[in-house]
Amino acid sequence: MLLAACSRYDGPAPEAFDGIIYPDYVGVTVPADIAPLNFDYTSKESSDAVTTFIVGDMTVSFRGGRVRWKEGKWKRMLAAAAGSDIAVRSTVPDTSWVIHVSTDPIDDAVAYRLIEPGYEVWSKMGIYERELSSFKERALIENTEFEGCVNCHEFNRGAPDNFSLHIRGTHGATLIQNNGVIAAYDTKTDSTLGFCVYPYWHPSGKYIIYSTNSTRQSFHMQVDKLIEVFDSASDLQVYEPDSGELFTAPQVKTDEYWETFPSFSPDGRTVYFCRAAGQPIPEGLTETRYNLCKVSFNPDTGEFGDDVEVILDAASEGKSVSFPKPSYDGRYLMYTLSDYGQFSIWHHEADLWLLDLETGETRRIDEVNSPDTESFHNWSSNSRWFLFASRRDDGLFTRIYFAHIGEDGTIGKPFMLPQKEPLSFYRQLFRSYNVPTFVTGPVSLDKVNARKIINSSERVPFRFRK
Amino acid sequence: MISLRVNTRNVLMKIKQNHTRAAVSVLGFLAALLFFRFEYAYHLHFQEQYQLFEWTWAYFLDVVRAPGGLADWLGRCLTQFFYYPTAGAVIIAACLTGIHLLTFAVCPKKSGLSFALSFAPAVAMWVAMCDENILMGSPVAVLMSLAVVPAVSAVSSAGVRNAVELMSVPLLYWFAGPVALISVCILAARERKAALTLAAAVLFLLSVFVSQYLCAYSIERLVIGVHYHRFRAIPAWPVYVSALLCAAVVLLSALKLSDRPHPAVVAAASIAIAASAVFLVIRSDDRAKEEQMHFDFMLRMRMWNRMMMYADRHMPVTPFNVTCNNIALAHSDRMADSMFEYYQNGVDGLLPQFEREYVGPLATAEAYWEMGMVNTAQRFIFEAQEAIPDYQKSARCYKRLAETNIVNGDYEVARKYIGALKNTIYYRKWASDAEKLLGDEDAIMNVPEYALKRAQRFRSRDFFFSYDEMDSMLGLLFLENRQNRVAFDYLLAWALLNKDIERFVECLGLVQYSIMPKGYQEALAMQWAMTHDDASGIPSAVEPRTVARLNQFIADSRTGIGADKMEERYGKTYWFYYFYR
Repeated sequence: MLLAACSRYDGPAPEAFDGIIYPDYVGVTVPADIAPLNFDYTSKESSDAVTTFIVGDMTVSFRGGRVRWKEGKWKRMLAAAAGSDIAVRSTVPDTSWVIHVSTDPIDDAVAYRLIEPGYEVWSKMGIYERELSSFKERALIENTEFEGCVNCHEFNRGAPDNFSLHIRGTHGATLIQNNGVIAAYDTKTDSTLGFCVYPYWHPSGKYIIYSTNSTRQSFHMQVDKLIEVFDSASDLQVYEPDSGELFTAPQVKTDEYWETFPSFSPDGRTVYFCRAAGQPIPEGLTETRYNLCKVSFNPDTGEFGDDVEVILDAASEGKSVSFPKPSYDGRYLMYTLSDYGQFSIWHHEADLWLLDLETGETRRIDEVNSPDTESFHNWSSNSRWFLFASRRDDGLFTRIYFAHIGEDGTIGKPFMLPQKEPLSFYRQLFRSYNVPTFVTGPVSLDKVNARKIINSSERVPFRFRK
Repeated sequence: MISLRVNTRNVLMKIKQNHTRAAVSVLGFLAALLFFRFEYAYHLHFQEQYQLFEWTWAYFLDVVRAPGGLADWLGRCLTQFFYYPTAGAVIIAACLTGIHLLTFAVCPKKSGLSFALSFAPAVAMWVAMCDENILMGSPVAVLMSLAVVPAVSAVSSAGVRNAVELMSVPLLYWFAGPVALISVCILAARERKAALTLAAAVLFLLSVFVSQYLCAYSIERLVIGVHYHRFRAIPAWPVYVSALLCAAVVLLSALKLSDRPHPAVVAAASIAIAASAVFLVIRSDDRAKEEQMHFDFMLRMRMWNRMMMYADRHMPVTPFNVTCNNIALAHSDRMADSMFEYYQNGVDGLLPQFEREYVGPLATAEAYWEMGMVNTAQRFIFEAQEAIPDYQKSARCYKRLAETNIVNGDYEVARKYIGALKNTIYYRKWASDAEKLLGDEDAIMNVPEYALKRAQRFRSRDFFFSYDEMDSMLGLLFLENRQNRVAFDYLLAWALLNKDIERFVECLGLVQYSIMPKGYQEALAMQWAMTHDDASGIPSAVEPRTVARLNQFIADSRTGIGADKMEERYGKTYWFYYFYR
């Protein structure tokens, strides 16, 4: 399959940039259980503005440049508007807009890593959970608790009880919590390339597929680029928690190709992944382009099929695919497209694309893309919402946006993760939202126990199945 | 009549005693003040530059959400004034004097011995503050813990007082950290109730235990204190000693034998403490670090002439100091002439490799900034900041990051750094001025330094930074802008320090000199001598006196005189570097 029109999105900038309010909630589609959409007028002239929200005969007005909802009032208004719109009128400037309220529920929370978008050294960071119906955020784990950094967290379809979390540094380990039981693993074996890196759970919870990557980074000397993160080899491998064994297959562990970013189809019988022809690195980096591939997988035996198939030949179009994520209803597959490589967050041209798995059509999602980076993304458990990481705000610090996708494939305008004091919050936040993931309930992690496990030297080794 | 006379004499003696004690305390204050102002001023600058104290509610909440957080916040608040070392010295001296006076104040008996001994915890804290990694939250935490004692003791009702004491234990632990234990000890000594002491001790332990569920720190960190030491896993021993001495002095004072100490005992204790203070402070005074911090300060403040004059008196020898001095030389157009008049330790003192730490990369970043490698300067600055062991941010780094982003045209990112700096006292003015530049290309180009960086940086080619190909990068930088003399000097210095004379000669041809710099003449003459039998035909750029001096160098070296003698005679030449370093 070829990409229909694989140029980058260079359409009009989202209204946030010249918009009257921050965050840009003009015309967005939100779920009926989202936290209050507080916002600030960006112009000083709007300090006397009167903003009126209207649903039916319910009217709520705010005076001044800051719109701050009381939670109860907001919830009532949302409930009244479910399935329709909230009309918003502003006096300065004299304008009006709507907020669409969908009846499709969104998951309870989102989990993400907060980290400064830096180079090699890390400062304070952690994995956090944020309720979507309120402003409550809590730290699941922070690197003040041990020496190292946390990354690559993945939940099984948002299940708060099943997750994999990688820790780097002196206390390096992969923490896996499976149905409430947590342990720290050493995922490196003599028979594999290295540690398990990018995970994806099998829908049954029986397997976790990982890529193992030999990753490096280099630093650009030009003005508009900073960092390039790239692989010089990568393979796929599967971990079976019940047996404690890691296995792979020649089809997904080749020297000729680099396989990465695996994900299971909702029925667990197909593995989607990205694959690039190996290049000399770093000189061949800009020629390293990943195609979207799939291969069958038998969940009963844990065997890969021989039918590796390129389903999206991006390389021939001079593009590269990363983060293929099928929707849980099996209808779509979302991916990121950039000019080369696989670490698209450092590529300003990176955009989100959507592949219709029923029709085979693929398209750039202009409803949500911006002139800057859109990269990591994930689906809600009901596949009616997706979130994505974007650098549209300032070109560097990644923020989370949510968008609705209807049954007919209609995609609404995305909205930024709401905050109580959005303007000051985001301006003062020097950390990026990294690998945002929906979770369907509060993550059940015993922090003190996890801390002890990480700080101990005991690691359960992955056994490699020959 | 006799009784009145005795009373009057007692009162007069008391007044005299108080005056004497006040004078001694003032002397102690002045000694600390003078030490930190004149002996340790650059340690204060060092402390100040590795934090970004913001006057915002969010910053306050972020700091106070761990045990010891309030003391830490107050310590950081005080540290921001170290921007002016006089203010910093006054603050530290006041804290040390405060520890001494509060210790004495909470002693049950105010004898001369208690007064003398009350200097001991202040001396220990003085020693602690000589370590640049002990943070100001430490003396503040000790002061808070001591201050609680008179506050609790002021409650007249015993029952209420005991209840307040018990309530103060978890609160004080949360506000001041584990040194709060001293207040438990002191209050126990004053109350002398076993059950109360036991309850307070249990409460203290419970506070530490429960805290691990309330914050993101392991029990080990909670026991040693989260914010006393810059490095996370290192116990702040001198701070604990100071805290324990506070408790020990008070406990000692409560003993009967200290009721009326013999004057000789008091005198001996006073002399011992004074002598210990002098000995310990001198022993803790790290001159090498102070010198490095001095170089760092001059680099930060861009005091080029002062740095070179300082280097004339204090020869820089460590890679950090040499790096700083080389930047000063390059900026002042003296590198080509004078580089080898100073000690050189290879490319490690020119452009050191990146290391994951928070001090060295700051100087290296300035070298890259100076020559216009803006992205690399930004990376080094950013990484240095990320490497700050206690995860604080740095006002110095934020300022430079704002500048690199302004030069690169990343105005929204620059705005974030500027926004944070606007929340500070000493950087607000700079930030407000810088904010006016954002998006205003003409205004930016009117700032000579930014205009220069934009002219110097890579524009037409993109490639990856490669330390192994430094000379190629420097060469390309110069070829993109032949006015970039700093890049050219660094290019030649790189070759010379690597003793790569062929590369030096090759690169030297890129520029025509009317008068060849001294260092380059020496290298050229040496290259000629190594490839020719005599000096006839040597390039005219090499002056006859250079040739004559080289001949003398060769003759002297053939006599087999030692390296010391050679250094004495030729230590400021490239030839000495080439053959003896």
